[in-house]
Amino acid sequence: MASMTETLPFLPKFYDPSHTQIWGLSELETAISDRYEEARRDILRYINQSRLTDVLWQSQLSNMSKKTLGYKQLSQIYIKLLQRQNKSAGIDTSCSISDRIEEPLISYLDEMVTKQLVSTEVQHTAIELWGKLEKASNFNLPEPDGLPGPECSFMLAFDDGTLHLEFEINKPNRVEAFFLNRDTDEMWEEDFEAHLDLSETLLEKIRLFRR
Amino acid sequence: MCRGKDGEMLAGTATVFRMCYKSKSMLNDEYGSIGSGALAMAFEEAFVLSTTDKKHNPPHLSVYEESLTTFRQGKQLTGGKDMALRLPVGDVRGLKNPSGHTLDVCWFLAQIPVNDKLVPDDRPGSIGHCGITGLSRPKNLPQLDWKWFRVKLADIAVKMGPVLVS
Repeated sequence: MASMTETLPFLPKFYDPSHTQIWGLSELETAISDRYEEARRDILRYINQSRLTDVLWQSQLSNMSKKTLGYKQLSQIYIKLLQRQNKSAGIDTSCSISDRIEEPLISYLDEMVTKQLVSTEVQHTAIELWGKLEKASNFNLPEPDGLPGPECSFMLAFDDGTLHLEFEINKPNRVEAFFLNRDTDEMWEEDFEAHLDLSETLLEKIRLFRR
Repeated sequence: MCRGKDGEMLAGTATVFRMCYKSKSMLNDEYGSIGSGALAMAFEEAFVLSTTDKKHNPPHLSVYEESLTTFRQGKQLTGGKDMALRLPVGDVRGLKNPSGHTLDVCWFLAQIPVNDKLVPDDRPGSIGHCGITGLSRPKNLPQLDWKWFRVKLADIAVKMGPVLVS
């Protein structure tokens, strides 16, 4: 049997509302970033390894192409569909998928590292943490904001105007979480290591921000 | 506005600003469009004391008084930080954390590190340098209450409207 990666179709034309034009394959290829391409190849490799049927995968692509979606939405749906089909196929989802979900965050971190405002180690911790938070909330979180801090640290923050949850990464693998409910002044904090399981209390807090 | 002596309090009517980098949502033009009209922000990180800030006597967070320092000068003085977070001094002084502690804004001579020593900063705009005191947590008091300050300062800055500096 031929490698599934080789037989997978490319996405057909789709409509990008921000550019008000129909994109063909070549334009699409130009528009998507190298990083996205790399992520896509990794995903295809992962699917291949996971032995999902190409029929199922092509069906998903076909459904997606019928919708009028921009690149950003498309890339997110790409990942979510994979997550769902892996789950239904009883396949354990690897971190390599989840930690690539939030492209703007990764691009921002890349830029901060290039400017030497965030250390590479802190960047890795932030990405690992974000992947875990996304998985824990069934890939249903709004995009967090992020900002570099003193001594190459980084902060991720969710805020809906009432609830505030921040993750401060001062050292590699070390995270300080802080939660504030502005209405009640309820506060909570926890220090933890990014590679360990998230605590139940933290999971409860992060789920408050699900869309 | 005339600059006061070192350690002297600023007038309650003054407005200071803190320079920081554009956050992710500002960079990607997502600001103000997250969720159901709510705001995602990470500006609290701009109010964390650095190691150098903690070494000052008293420890203070560097800010600039906006009639003496322009935003562009602020950007140059802070090595290219391109966002100004504005804070009315009266609002800063009005914050009281759950431990009952408050903040103050005082004049402090601008200093820069040269050969491991702090020397006066005489670059254009440094005349407006001042500092927010009270952000250094006294020992044995809950860290939570000082993180509370950071969020509240960020809230003030958001209410005032962050300024992107070209």
